[in-house]
This record gives sequence, structure tokens and C-alpha cells, in this order.
Amino acid sequence: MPAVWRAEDEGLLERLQDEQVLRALFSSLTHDHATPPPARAAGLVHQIRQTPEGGAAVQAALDGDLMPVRRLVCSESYRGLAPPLLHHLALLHQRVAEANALPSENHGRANEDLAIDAWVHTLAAWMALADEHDYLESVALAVAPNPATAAAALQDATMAPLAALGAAARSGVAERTLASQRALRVLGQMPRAIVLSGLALESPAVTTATVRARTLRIEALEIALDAVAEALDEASARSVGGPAADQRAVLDVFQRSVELWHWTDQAVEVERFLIDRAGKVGWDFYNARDWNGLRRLCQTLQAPVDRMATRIQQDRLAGLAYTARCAQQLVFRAEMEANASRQLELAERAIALCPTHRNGRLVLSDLLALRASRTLRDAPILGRKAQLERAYADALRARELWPSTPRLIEVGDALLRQGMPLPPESEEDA
Amino acid sequence: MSENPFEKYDLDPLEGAAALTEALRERIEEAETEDVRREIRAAWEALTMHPRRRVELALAAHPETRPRIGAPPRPTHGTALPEPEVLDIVTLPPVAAALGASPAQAEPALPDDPFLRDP
Repeated sequence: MPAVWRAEDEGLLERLQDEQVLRALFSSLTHDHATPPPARAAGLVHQIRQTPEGGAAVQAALDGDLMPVRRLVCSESYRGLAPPLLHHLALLHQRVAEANALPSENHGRANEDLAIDAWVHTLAAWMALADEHDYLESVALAVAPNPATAAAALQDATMAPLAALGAAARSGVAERTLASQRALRVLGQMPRAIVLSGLALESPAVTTATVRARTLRIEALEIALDAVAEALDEASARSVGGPAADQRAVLDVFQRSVELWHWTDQAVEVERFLIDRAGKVGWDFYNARDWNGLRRLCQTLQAPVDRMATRIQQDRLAGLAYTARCAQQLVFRAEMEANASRQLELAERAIALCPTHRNGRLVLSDLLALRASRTLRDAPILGRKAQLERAYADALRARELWPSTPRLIEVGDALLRQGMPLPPESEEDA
Repeated sequence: MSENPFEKYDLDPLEGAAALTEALRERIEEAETEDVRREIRAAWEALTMHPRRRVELALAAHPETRPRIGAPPRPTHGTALPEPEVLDIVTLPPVAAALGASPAQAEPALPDDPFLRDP
């Protein structure tokens, strides 16, 4: 008698079980109405079975617990995974990302996060595949035996998800669509994708993908910034010596630019644009003695300027080109500030950021001399010595920062009267 | 992700242009509407006339990594049945009688079955 249950029947049962697990897995990663992947994608589950923990994970999924399979699919690192499994993962995550990007009644913000997460996994898997290279090349050559055609198509295929993200970012950036914002966020998450890929930073696949993602992100942001720049140029041309309404128009464009900065999750490119353009506008207000205008400009730009100052302090080299411009914005804000201690704090921040900033040194020197003058004026009879010493220190530092600060002469005289003359300036200082 | 023809028509990218043509030709013949035929024709053009596009689509489709399904069980009618033994052909007494219970009422012979009688 022939065997009732053959090896072929076992194979068929396993295939049907793999399809069942894939459908359940996809459903758990998306919403209920998402179109499931084709049956061939169940090869992913077969590939998972071949990994050390895969057999038990698939069995757990068949018993109703999907978490072990989900942990393998959404792994923290793709290092060492077989290329066919990486290929399946790249495509599955892209399908999950696109399904989660569609509106769903039951899932709001959570789907947005899932979509971004799935995109990051997609990019990681493609980078890992591009780094391994042999698998993709063998598939490409099997499909198109001409090596040049295969190589060109392979390059396009590995970059296709990035290209799709770039197109989505560009197409909706002017209208600030959710799809565009999502694409920009994903393009900005390349460092996380690199960690997930398990590759070294110096891997050519990582370098190529990182440069491409940065370029695509900048291209999309430039579309938005070009429109802002045009509006700003137009408003600025009208505002010079013009009525207050035109000056308000300039500030309104800056306000919209700051909204763009928030929309792009505080993109450094938008920060740089703002700092670049704010310098001239700030000086225009300053020279016109339009203190209300300058104060409003400082208030509008406070968050991006502070963010950029923090960035520069974290990475001096990367922010070198913007150090002086950022410091100038802090100096403007120090001058517009009503509170004396807050003024000093802002001027100190400007100098900490850019120690050689001319206006920063001048303003801080004046503020320190002013504080020394007030300290001397208000010094009580009791505890006078400590106050005098504080005023002396301020005056000394003010002179170091800017020896010809006019207020220093008065302070120096007052200190002399109190028996604490400032030391003579050295020849170099003079 | 627009539908990939390799996945939509369940085609194996590694089979080559001739095999793809043959598979899609069969589908066109089976198609019931002109719209479907046009769609399949467009897929055929994309897959066979532009090798670079074929590679891109092949890499954008899930690879076939499932083990092949084996052959179905052989039909049994071709194999000779074993010779019947005596116990296969003789009428055995009811089991109930052997257990001491009253035997079930015997079924009527087919010609006497009231269910089959003409009304």
C-alpha cells in the first residue's frame, strides 16, 4: 500500500500554513482593509523558518502568537540575514508603509508612525541588499543577461524606494501635504535606517543611499524655500522706507517660514535659510530704528535661532558657517530685551557661540559696564566691599571685551573714587 | 506600489522572455474583455521589450523562494486490487446476536422497499 501522508503533502501543508502566517502578519502590521501581499510573498515565512529562531516563531504564529514572527520581521538589525529574506523584507515593509499611508477610520496617528517605521525598515533592507550585491546581481543577470543593462537596472531598483520618497516629498511640499511631510521625515531618518541595516558607516551602499536621501530632501525643501524667498524679496523691496503694513508683510513671511520649519520637524536647511535672510532684515530694522519691528523679528525667530545655537554648540565644525550669523541674532535679541539679567544672559550666549563676534563683544561689554555702574550706585554701606569687587570684575571683563566702551570711563572713575582703580591697560590692549 | 505584473500574473522572472510571452499569450486568449487583454498586452510589452524595466520589475517583485509543491498522489485505479478473501465475500451473522441482544429488523429486499414503490 502507498504511504497515506507523503513528503509532498507535508510540503503543501507547510506552504498553506506559510500563507496563513503571512496574511496574519500583514494584517497585524497594517489595518484591516489593506490588500494582502501576493501568495508568493509567503516565501518570506519559509525563509524565516530557516533562521535559528524562525521555526519556533512560525509555530507560535500558527498557535496564535504573532509576536515572535513580528520581532524577527521588525528586527533591530538586519545583519547576517540571508539575501532572499532581506529581499522579501524590503518589499513587505514597503507594502506595509504604503498600506498604512492610506487613510483608515480606526487608525489615525498610529498608522502614520507605522508607515514611517516601515519605510525606514525598507530602506535598511535595500541598503543591506545593495551591500551584499551578489544576490541582486545574480537575479538581474538571470533576468537580463546583458551585464550593462543588469547593472543599470540594479542601481535603479535599489534606489527606487528613495526615488519614490523624493517624488512624494517634492510633489506636496508646496501644499504641505501629509504625504510630503511623511516622505521628508523618512528621508531624514537615514541614520536609523543605517543602524537597522547593520552596516558600517563607511560601506559604499550606506554612503550612496545617505547622499541620495540628503539630496532628495534638500531638493524638496528648496521648492518650499524658493517660494518663501520670492515672497520675502517682494515684501522686503516694498518695506524699505515704506509704510508699516509692508514691514508687517516681511514679518508675516518670516512667520510662515517658521511654520514651515515646524512642519519639517525643525529642518536644519530651513533654519539656515531663516538665519541667512534674517540678518539683512534685522539690520534694516536696526538702521531704521524700528525697534518694534526688530523685536517682533526676534520673537518670531526665537525658536529656530535657539535650535541652531544648540546645534552649533553640539557640532562646532558643522555649524561653523552660521556661527556669526546666529550670534548676531542673539545680540539683536539681547538689545531688544527689557530685562537686564536676560540681556546679559543672551549676550553671554552670543559670545559663547562666537567669541570673536564684534557686535557681541561690544554689546556684552556695554552691558557689563552698565551692571558695574548700577552695582556701584546701589552698593549698601554694609557689605559694600563684596559689591565693589563684583563691579570691579565686571568692569575688568568689559574692558577685556571692548576697551573703548564709553560707559567704562564713568565706571573706571567711580571705582577710582572707591579706592579700587582698574589696572593700567597693557600696551597690547591699548 | 502599483501592481507588479510578475506578481499580478504569477510569472517567474527567471523564466526568460519566451516563457513570459507564452504565459501571457495564454492569458490573453482566456481574457473575456478587451480591457483585460489590453492590460495584459501592456504588461507583456513592459516585461519583454524593455530588459532594463524587466529587471527593475523582477527586483520589485517577491522572489519565488517557496519550495516546489510535489506531484499529487497517483490515481489508484491503475493499480491491481488484491484478490478478495473468503471473509470479504461471505455474509456474516449480525454482531448483535453474538452479544445476546435481539437482532435488528432485517432490511426489506430492494424490490419490496416501500420507499421505491410507485404511489
